[in-house]
Amino acid sequence: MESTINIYDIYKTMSDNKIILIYQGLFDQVMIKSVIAMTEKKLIQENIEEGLRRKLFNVMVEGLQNICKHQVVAGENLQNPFLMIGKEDSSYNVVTGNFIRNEKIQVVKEKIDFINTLNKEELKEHYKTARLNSVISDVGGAGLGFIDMVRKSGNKLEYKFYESGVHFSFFILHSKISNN
Amino acid sequence: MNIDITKSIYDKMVAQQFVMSIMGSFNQGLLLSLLNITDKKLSSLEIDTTIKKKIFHFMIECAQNLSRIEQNDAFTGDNIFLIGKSNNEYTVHLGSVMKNSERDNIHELLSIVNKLETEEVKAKFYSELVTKELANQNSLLMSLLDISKKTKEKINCEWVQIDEENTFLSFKTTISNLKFTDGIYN
Repeated sequence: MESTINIYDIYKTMSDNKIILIYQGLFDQVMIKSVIAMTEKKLIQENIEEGLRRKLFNVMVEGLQNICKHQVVAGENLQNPFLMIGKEDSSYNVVTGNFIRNEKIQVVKEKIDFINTLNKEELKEHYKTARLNSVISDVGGAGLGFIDMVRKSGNKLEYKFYESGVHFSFFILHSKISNN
Repeated sequence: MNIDITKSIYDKMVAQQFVMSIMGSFNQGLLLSLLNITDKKLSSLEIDTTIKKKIFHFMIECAQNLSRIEQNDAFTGDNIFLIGKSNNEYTVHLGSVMKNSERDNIHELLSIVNKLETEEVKAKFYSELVTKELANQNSLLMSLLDISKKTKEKINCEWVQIDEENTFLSFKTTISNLKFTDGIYN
């Protein structure tokens, strides 16, 4: 079967939406290392100021670790997770997408919604408390990822769950990193 | 960029069976990382080493071509690299926007290379190499010959005219992941 890719269409979509990188596939530690190395070169090439680059990097690492720990291994009808980095005026967007079991949606929603209500000081306090009380989960996370993303980006997290069958949904997390 | 746009881009990637994609100016540093990540990605897909080598050759030659065009000031935008999968085949694409003025020259060189059979491509490549000094070699021609030599295929190239000044040029190769054992592809 001939490939269905229309490369110009993809180029145009990426260009119109100012996307500088898309990676889709399974994420493991080795792959994350490569994606990070490539992104670093890409960001240096874009002449991004070091402070902003560091923020973007931190958020990206958190997002990638979230995927790495919580990704559902792609089955017949499930697609792999993705990472997208896009530019918007003087800000950058780090977007991750992965499948999630429907029974976990409520917990994730509550966590993000709560974190989004906190101001800078409250966030700092919440981070300290969460770190002291954290218990390492069976996938190796301490539940600090979302807090870290908001702290480092300085912006609230946006998210959406797209229903995909009875058991799974596609979870998209959007973090905006600006220079202020 | 809102979340629904992100989702529609992702759906497009899924529909077109993307394995990976990156956009940018492919300098040596970025190309090295790109090769590294492609290597890991292809290893995770358990692709035969010979196929992997073919993909790498194609990537390197095309990226060098595009960066040469970039040095010629005819380049006006980013390059795009993507790998797609369809059944047992991988399609590797590399594309770039360039000035329309470059089009005729590339088109002419492509038709020279694509007229040649596999053995003739080899012969032409080595004769250019031996008979001409480096400074007199047409680097773009050498590169196209090298792509054709290594992929053992005619160069598949597409042009899309964007406007009066710019054209989008893309190279594509399709590589089957069938393994060659005992003279039979399995």
